[in-house]
Amino acid sequence: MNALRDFLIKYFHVFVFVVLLVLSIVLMYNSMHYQKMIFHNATQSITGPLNKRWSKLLRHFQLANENEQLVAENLKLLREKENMFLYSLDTVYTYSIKDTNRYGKRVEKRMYDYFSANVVFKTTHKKHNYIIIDKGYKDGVTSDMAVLSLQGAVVGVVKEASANFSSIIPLINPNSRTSARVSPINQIGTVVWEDNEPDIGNLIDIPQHLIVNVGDSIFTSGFSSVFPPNLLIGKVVDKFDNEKNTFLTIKVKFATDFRTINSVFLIKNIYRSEIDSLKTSFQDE
Amino acid sequence: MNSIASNLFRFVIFIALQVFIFNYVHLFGFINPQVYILPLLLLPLEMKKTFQYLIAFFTGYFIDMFFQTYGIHSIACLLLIYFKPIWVSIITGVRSSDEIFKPLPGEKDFKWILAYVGGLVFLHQLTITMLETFNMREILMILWVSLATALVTTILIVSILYIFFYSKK
Repeated sequence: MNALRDFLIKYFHVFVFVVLLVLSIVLMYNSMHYQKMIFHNATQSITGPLNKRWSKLLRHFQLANENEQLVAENLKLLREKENMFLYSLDTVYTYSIKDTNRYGKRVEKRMYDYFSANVVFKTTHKKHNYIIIDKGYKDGVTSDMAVLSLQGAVVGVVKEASANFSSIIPLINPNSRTSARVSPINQIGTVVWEDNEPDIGNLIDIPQHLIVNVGDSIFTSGFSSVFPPNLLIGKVVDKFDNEKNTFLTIKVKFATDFRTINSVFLIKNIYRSEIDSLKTSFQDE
Repeated sequence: MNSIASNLFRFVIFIALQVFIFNYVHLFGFINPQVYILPLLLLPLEMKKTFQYLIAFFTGYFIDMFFQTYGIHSIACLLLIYFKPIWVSIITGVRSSDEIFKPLPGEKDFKWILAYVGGLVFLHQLTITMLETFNMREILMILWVSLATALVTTILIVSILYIFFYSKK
């Protein structure tokens, strides 16, 4: 019996090491379900408020720069108010819409609404990047809202909202897929992120017979109910034929600089629930 | 008693430094120095192994909480503590048992400190990068990132050792 006890005392540290190692691996395995687990922890745990305080302090260092950007963007918004915020359509249902009907049958109504939020925590150099902002469902954030930078370029999509914080999947995450349109030829493709570089993405699904030039702009297509059409995603910086398949490989430089981003705009689609309910009625069939 | 308090203080300071300053450092976009392991390197070898493992695990766990990478830093810290005595015996040669382990400048020469810190930092960084990427096809990228980051971390830690922990005999 004594021998057994001595043995246990002598090798107790090995036992502790193995238990802790297994515990770490279990923790890691759980957090591998990236979408479910990590975002939940990021928005709920105690590190949220602490990071918020600290980022408040850090934000002061970039205030001057940020202010200039805000002024420029405000001007732009004022100028583009008419066509960007309002959704116009030719319709015969004029009697059901309250807005003024100035041009006969042409009716304008508000489809998208904007509000702003500050970045609390972000990563740019990891495999799975994410952003946490300081507005949650108390402020009207819901999942799948579009996120723009102050310059009006696409940042990403809201993944999950807790009471006071929300998590964003930025363009620089392997799970992000954004429907996009190449400007002069109006071909629809998808912007993905594969290179692990914080400012370069890939545009896929563009056939090889189409002509895409370096410098062409890439906008959102407006086919998803998340992004309004014609928001800037980035510019083509490189393109080459792919030996393996019939699609072009196109490198995109994002218009958003994810390293310096401190505040964002969120876009709310007012008719989203309506559109989604129409879509689900098709999925049931 | 005094040494326990000062050790604890050291851990708090370096975890805070890591979370509030070095997490925001991204040299060339991908080098993120992990300075918080310095107190782990200074832990005495004579300390009970059980405590060393527990300390390493919780240090890693705190960093994981801020990085949102549960488990990765804990594993890296555990492995670091596990390999520490082996690495020390490798670089010291035959280890004389009566000598008290003090990896401090002044006690040891510059070469020894550099080898001690560099080797363990590289092991730690390699573990982190491998677990984070979790894809053996990118092994060259993993090696390159670990090597570059370990280099910067080593320079930082050795500098901190020489500036703040110089022991006068």
